[in-house]
Amino acid sequence: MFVDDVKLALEQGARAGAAAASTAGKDLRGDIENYVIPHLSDIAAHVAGIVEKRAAGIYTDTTAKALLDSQADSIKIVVETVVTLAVLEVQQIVNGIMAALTSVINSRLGFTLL
Amino acid sequence: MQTCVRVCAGGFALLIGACQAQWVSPYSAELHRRATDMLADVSTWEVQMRDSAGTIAADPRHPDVTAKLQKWKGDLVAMEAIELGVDPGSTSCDQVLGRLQILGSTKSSLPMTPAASSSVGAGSLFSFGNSTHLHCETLPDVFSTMNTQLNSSIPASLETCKLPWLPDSYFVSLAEARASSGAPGAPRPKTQMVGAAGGESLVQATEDVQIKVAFNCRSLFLSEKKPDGSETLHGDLLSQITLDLDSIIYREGREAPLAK
Repeated sequence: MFVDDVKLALEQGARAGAAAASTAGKDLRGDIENYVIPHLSDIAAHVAGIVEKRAAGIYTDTTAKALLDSQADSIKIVVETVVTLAVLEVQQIVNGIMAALTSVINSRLGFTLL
Repeated sequence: MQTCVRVCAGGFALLIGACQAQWVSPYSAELHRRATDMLADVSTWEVQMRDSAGTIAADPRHPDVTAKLQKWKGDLVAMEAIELGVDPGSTSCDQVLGRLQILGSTKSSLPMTPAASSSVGAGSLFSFGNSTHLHCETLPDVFSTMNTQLNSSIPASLETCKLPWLPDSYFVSLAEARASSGAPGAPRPKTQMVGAAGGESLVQATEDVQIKVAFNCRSLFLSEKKPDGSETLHGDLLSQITLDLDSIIYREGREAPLAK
């Protein structure tokens, strides 16, 4: 089915992008599997549905183009959300390290310096 | 004022103490609430439009439809203002990610804010005491894409719901009648063509035409089938704007303080 072809293409693209985009030791592949892929499944269904409705004459060219452009924007937003999560993850890691170091220093000194 | 101690240990530079990294803009309860409210409003409207497809109420020229899109534009302006107030800086988060180096693998310093990332370098230290933190811009395109939706994509696609046997003047009269008296407006004309002005080309509202318009319009608001047999949450028309709102809600939800 066409929707399967679209979904497969989107998923393969996302996985290839994730493999190339691991940043600063943060492996984004988990976020891609848990967040991006499910949303891409929705996007694939919409893309396939829009194309089929255009073919059936339900949507005009103008409508189909507007809707497909929207789906392209959707992909961009999904990826940006993953970037946000990645930054949040690293931020939390850093803050956890700093909290642990603060505790160690204060404990060693015997009083609360920091 | 925060005190920070710069410590060099084992080739790394660490910034510790009362300083906390805050690359992502802080949680905004107001933004979270507004995005959630707008998502609920969009979802409700989608159901209403699905049910009224093929009627005057779903025609994009109807005052209620134009008013709804105007309301959402206003909501978007308010959310953008909140976002700008909370997150006035500058660097895209993907650029921040590109510069971050996890401790232990490199000798690069770890910037505390994106603003400091411009001086990342091996062994460099950062000074800060500046209480104004700049954050990296998360979801940099979300408001522009929502603007595009409300100003361009949705209006263009809603032409599918236009009743071709009714002239624009009918809806102008409807809006004027409402504005002057608060009454619901003129009753819906039946199948005969209404007199057109300005060279509008009208279609006779035969039963076939009416059925086709209703079917095509409703298609914008119906869920799509997914390969696993489940259905998408929204129809083609509103799937993108609801995803945008979902992304904001998801981001704010991740940053929300834990309930005590």
